[in-house]
Amino acid sequence: MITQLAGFNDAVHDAQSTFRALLEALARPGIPQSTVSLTPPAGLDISCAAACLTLLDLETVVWLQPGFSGDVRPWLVFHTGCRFTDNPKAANFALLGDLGSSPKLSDFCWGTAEYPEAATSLLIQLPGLTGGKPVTLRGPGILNEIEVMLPLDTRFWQQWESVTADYPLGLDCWYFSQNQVVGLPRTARANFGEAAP
Amino acid sequence: MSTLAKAPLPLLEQCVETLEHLPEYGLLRAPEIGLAMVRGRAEGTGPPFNLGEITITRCVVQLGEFSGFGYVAGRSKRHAELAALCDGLLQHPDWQDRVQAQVIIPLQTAAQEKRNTEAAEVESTRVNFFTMLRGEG
Repeated sequence: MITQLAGFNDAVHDAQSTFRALLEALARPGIPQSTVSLTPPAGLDISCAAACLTLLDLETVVWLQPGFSGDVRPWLVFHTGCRFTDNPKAANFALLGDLGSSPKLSDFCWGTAEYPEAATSLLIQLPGLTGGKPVTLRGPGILNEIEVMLPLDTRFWQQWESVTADYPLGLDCWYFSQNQVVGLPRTARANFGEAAP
Repeated sequence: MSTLAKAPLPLLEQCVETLEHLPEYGLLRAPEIGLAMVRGRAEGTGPPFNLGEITITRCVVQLGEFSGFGYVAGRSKRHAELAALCDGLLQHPDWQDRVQAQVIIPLQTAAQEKRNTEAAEVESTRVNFFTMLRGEG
């Protein structure tokens, strides 16, 4: 099946500005960035679709969470030419739409001591970027501390704590909703209220 | 597809112009230029080797429910777009016959004529090599 949807309206400049937004998101954890607009396939948010077009290419291996609509895979293949894998450990990028049924964070590749950058980058789509329990983030790129209200459960933040404990190994995440993106790099330490401050 | 891709661009433009009132179409993949590795086999049967890279322009147009693909050698974005448009129209039941008659057939005829002329030119300088048989013993 071939997709019926176009990609970026202006391939070069839209990809550049989206890349900048994604960089800013990781450089300033917790601060929402806006991405360009485009017509995403059913089931993908605008910002998530823009990030996929920007980051994925012929050489990247993607783990796509089962449960995304059938339009997403052909659209990604047509516009990026990326390859898919069933093994989360083998993926360069993982596309998640439902954290409730996703594998544990420890199931993805954390990189190796020699190549920590080989870790899987998680592209996580959320229903919104606010409305969850307040969590305080600290770390590089954050002045003192910043409070985020991402709709993530305590189980996720507990996993996040173990992910960030093994720095420089770890995972980098982007959270997408509509045309907004928030970054959570592996350097961000979360205080979600239950651990010792 | 090969006829469209190999046709000279001015002739292709001319043929497409004869199709009046072209339907609206969108670009699913705007014309883009890239490289492809051409592989060859020595004598056609040997192990494959990389002969070299070729510049390719590709384009995908969307005509309603049909997608037309165009891949042409070289850097002509217009050529890729026209080739993709004709490919899309060929899948369209209302356009199929007209495109076949007004674009494909003339292009094929022109290509055949060119081949014949070249063959005739080359033929006049043909040299026949004979293998000399050695005497036995």
